[in-house]
Amino acid sequence: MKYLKKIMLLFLTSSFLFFSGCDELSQLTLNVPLVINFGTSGPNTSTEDTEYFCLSDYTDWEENQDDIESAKFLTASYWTLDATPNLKGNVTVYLYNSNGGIIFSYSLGNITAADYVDSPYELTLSQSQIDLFDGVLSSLSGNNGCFTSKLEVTNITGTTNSSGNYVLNGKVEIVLETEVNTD
Amino acid sequence: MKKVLIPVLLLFLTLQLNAQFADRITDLPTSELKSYAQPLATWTGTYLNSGGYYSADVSTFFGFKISLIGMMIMVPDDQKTFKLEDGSETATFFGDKGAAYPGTNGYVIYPPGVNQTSIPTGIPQIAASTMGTEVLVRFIPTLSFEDVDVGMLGLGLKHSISQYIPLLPVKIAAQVLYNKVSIESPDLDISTSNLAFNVHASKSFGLISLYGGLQYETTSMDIDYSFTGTGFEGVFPDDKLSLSMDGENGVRLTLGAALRLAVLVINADVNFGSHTAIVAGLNFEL
Repeated sequence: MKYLKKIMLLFLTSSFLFFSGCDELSQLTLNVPLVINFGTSGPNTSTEDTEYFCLSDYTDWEENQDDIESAKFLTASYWTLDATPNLKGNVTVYLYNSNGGIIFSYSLGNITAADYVDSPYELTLSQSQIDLFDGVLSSLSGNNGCFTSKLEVTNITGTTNSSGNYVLNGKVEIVLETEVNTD
Repeated sequence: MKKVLIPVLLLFLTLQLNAQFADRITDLPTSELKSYAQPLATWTGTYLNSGGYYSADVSTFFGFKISLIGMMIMVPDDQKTFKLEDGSETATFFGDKGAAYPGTNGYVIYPPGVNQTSIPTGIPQIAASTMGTEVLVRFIPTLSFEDVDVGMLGLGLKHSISQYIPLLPVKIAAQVLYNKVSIESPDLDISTSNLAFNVHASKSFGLISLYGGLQYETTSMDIDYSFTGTGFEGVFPDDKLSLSMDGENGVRLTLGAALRLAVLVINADVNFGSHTAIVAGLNFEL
């Protein structure tokens, strides 16, 4: 039976090779989502939260990082996770590289937090912001794969909770398009 | 999931499927996986229902042949993408880039495809005939790659019609084909069943013969898997999901020619159906 299997495998492989020579699949395009959760809370009309993250914190990146040949920005959006009632404010998202240099800041304007619980607010970056982000992604090495992101809320209005605080918990997802070598 | 690669590679084509891709099959709920995988089901039907004949001449005494069949299956553009709720498109199994769709809980990441337009593959088969009837067998014993088992069984039965019609200028035969492929692993099982019925004819001119036929074929594919995706409503990681679907196979027309050189027969044909397939065979015939 062992020999029969070997013969069958050889025969089958030969069949495949019979027509070989077409395009080979040596690369896949994988979208890698980076989820950054923010929690802001305070009694004042301005509050912020800063999060530090590395690409290797994300499973999809970590599993493929040895084979990722290139990465570029694809899309990004903001979702509200929860907020104190009627919370409104000027929300701005910042992303910095590992040296503290700004990659982009994006103002969502004066938004009502509850509007973005089920449907996201897309961060439509300018081409220069995308180019800068892509430039950082194209020169990743060591700590370069780490970033700092900040969610800032100013001019807050609405109802505070029982502790007298305004609360806004939200998340930003940034999707990177990566080319993964499959050889 | 990398272990899934080898059997899929061996059985389904020379596509270099890989761990990343195999993982993402299970990232989709059944409703999305159906759109993603249906072109694969159709392709599988085209693949396994090809190469069943190159002559309608069936021995009445004794015949035996071993065939090595290679084929190139063309995937039409409309089977490389499917539409999402918002009207945007994402790859099917054969497409290129997967979409990132903003859902209610975050981005839903769709898997990429293998980005192939023409797929080469092959089938080994043996056949024996007597009294105007031929039995064809395609068989791969269950092979184990770590904890993945793969097996294939194909059977065909062909009967000469022209033997009952004296002085008919061409040979005519009818054939039924049944093929089954199964891949079983702890997290992902795929099985396909393919049935085809054809009537074909051939005419010899010295060493060369021409042949053609009409075939009706069906394909069904069953996928059982543990869901690993996120962001979809109503389904959660580790849910056990099952999907059954039919390929969009139907009628195919085959036109071909064969060259006979003693015990060696070389044939080639073109198949027009749900996919266009070019089939070539190297046959040792007694």
